[in-house]
Amino acid sequence: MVARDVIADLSQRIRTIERTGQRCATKSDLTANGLPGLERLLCEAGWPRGGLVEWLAEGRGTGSMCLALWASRAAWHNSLLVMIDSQRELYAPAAIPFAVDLSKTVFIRPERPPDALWSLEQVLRTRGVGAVVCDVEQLSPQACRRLQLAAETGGGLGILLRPAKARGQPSFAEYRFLVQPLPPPDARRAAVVAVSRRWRVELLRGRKRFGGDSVIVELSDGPNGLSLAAELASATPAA
Amino acid sequence: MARMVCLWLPNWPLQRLRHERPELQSRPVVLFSNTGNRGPRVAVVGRALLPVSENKTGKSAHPTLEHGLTIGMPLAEAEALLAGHDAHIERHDPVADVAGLRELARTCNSFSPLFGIEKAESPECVLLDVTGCEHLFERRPGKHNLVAALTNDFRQRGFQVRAALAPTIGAAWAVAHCLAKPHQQPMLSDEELEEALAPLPVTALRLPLKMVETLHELGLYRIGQLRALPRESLPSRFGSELLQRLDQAFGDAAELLVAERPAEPLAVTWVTDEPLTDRESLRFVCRELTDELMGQLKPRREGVRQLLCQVKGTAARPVELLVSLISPSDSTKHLLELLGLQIDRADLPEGISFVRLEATGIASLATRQRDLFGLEADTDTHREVSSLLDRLSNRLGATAVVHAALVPDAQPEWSVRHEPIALECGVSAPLWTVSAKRHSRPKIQSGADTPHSKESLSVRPLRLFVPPQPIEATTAGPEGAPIQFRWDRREHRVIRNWGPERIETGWWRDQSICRDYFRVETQTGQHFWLFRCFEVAAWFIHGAFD
Repeated sequence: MVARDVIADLSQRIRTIERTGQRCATKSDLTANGLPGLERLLCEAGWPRGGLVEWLAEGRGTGSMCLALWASRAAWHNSLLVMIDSQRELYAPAAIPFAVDLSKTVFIRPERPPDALWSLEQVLRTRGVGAVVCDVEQLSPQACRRLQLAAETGGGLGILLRPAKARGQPSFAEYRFLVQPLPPPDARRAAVVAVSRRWRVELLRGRKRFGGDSVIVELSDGPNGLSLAAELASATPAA
Repeated sequence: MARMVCLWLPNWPLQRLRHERPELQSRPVVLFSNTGNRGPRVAVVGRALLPVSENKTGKSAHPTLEHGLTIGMPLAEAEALLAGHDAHIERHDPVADVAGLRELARTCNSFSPLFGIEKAESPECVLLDVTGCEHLFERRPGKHNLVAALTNDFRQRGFQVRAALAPTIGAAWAVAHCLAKPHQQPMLSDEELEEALAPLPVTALRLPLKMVETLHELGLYRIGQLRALPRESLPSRFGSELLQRLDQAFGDAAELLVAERPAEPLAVTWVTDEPLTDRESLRFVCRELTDELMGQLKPRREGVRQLLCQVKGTAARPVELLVSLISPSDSTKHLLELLGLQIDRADLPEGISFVRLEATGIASLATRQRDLFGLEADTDTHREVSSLLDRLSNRLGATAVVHAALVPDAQPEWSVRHEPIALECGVSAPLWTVSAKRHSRPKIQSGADTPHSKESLSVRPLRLFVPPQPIEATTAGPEGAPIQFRWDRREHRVIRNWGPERIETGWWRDQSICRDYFRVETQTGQHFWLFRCFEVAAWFIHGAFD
């Protein structure tokens, strides 16, 4: 018991040192994780306020945004959500199931990629913004560092949706996940009633832990809304 | 005698509404009010001008209009009569009508220095004192006289007007209502006054309805008939008002025109002989000017909502930078920051020698009440957020920073509308409360009570491609689901699908649609939203469930 307390205290102090601001990761600095099963990949009990989380996926229609919104939906509870939409593709009605209140959501539709990055930094730097969602294709290490510092100042959660080819690039994000959609188990192909989706979510890297672990997550439409369909499969990466 | 112009805007409440919302042009409009305790009654109704002949003969004060509607009938009855006519029904707002007319009157200052609106319960006329102004217009080529120019000016702005010029306000009012035609503006001289007014109906004297009825009962229909009666007998029979109106019309009693004061522009200017060459100096000038402007605003306890900065260089055309704010601000620093964002991006002229800063939008500042329990921090956050939105709107453009409002429309691409935040937010309330309450129009729903509100994967894709992109698809049969399709230079094989969901719009749309939507899952686990379009018998991809 005592040893555990000491370790907790030490890790708390390390966090304080790691963070540039005067804040440290106490419980109020965390936003609840809305996706049970994913906590195995996180080093704390939720998402860090004032940090970046990258969600990587290959191609369109993979569901990475759906997962990201579902997992971090507590971040915009009672505060502002900003969605930066340079492609002008985001469809607001579809975001409502993810606890998005449109009256507290601002859509920013910049025309040029540098404007999108500038807006992202401005939004992250502002206190009172719960979370910001943005597609980021290219990101230099310097720009990423700036974003992370901005997020620490503002205290919001930055959700960056990125292509899979960004996996080799350096990052200052708290977590970088790779989302891979999985085909349904063969047994369920025949009887299609409710919409369900499966993903393997792999932690590529985290600021405080090594990557490589993965979990399989499944979401489906239940009678009472979205639910985790079944007990999760074991977190063994595919051989 | 003086020269007065009366500019009548028939059915002004409707004209105002149609001017503000052009989409109502072709629809019948009914405005109702809740006077008395008999439930809502029709107050104003119509499509075009009120038939003037009704007024002329004075037979009926409440003319019957199209669809059998009358003023004062119960609203429910009117709704029943208008069923199927796509009518627009709204509460009558007399205060906005008066304010609108006042604002309109203020636009007349190029015709006369003295202008105002008529004194009445529901005014419909703009009055101008043009004594000594007429000759200024006669010499202009192509314009015959002042009244014609004035009428044309209003017509070009989309208003229907009747105008007349006469020596008195009363006479101008009478002639504008009874003799003026859309393209004919009577102009009376002092000598013609008596002769012109005599054949006009007594309603032209601006009398109360009850008195008109009494006069009609006695067989008095024309002003001439009234003039023939012994003058001293009139007050004892009809009260003093009749005589007063009669005297005002014929110029025997004075009538005051309460002039509207033109709004004074709040602006500061900086001119130099030594032109500026770099942006840094321009910033410095702007700082000085903003300080001066704020100094003028501070005693009024007002802040700027919109700031126009004109920069003139050697080129003929000045460059205009417009700064719009979410909520009024009196902070020089904040305004300068926003102006700076525009200066950085603007294509500034060479050799700047003239800078003008004008506060085109002014509003009273929100009162900041300090709270005992530390809610001050919260308002700080609000301020920070609105400052952020100001910065974004000013750098990216107002249309790039938007709210999404749901519209109950079956066609997915029309079921959401993006509204710029900068133009619509209120003055002092926090951002989100304003945006939620801003529109009381019934058509817009807020997120909570829509069919989308259930937590579900199956509603709509998070990314919608507008317009939909055509794809080549192989289907299971003529009406069946897609099996394979080609999109984004890749072949996708469908392993599961959900659908079809038929989305169809009515024939009354210009371009009605009939589509069968399928949500498909490809062998790689990607989910897309495809539809078969029946009009062109082709497949399209409309979105991705990202």
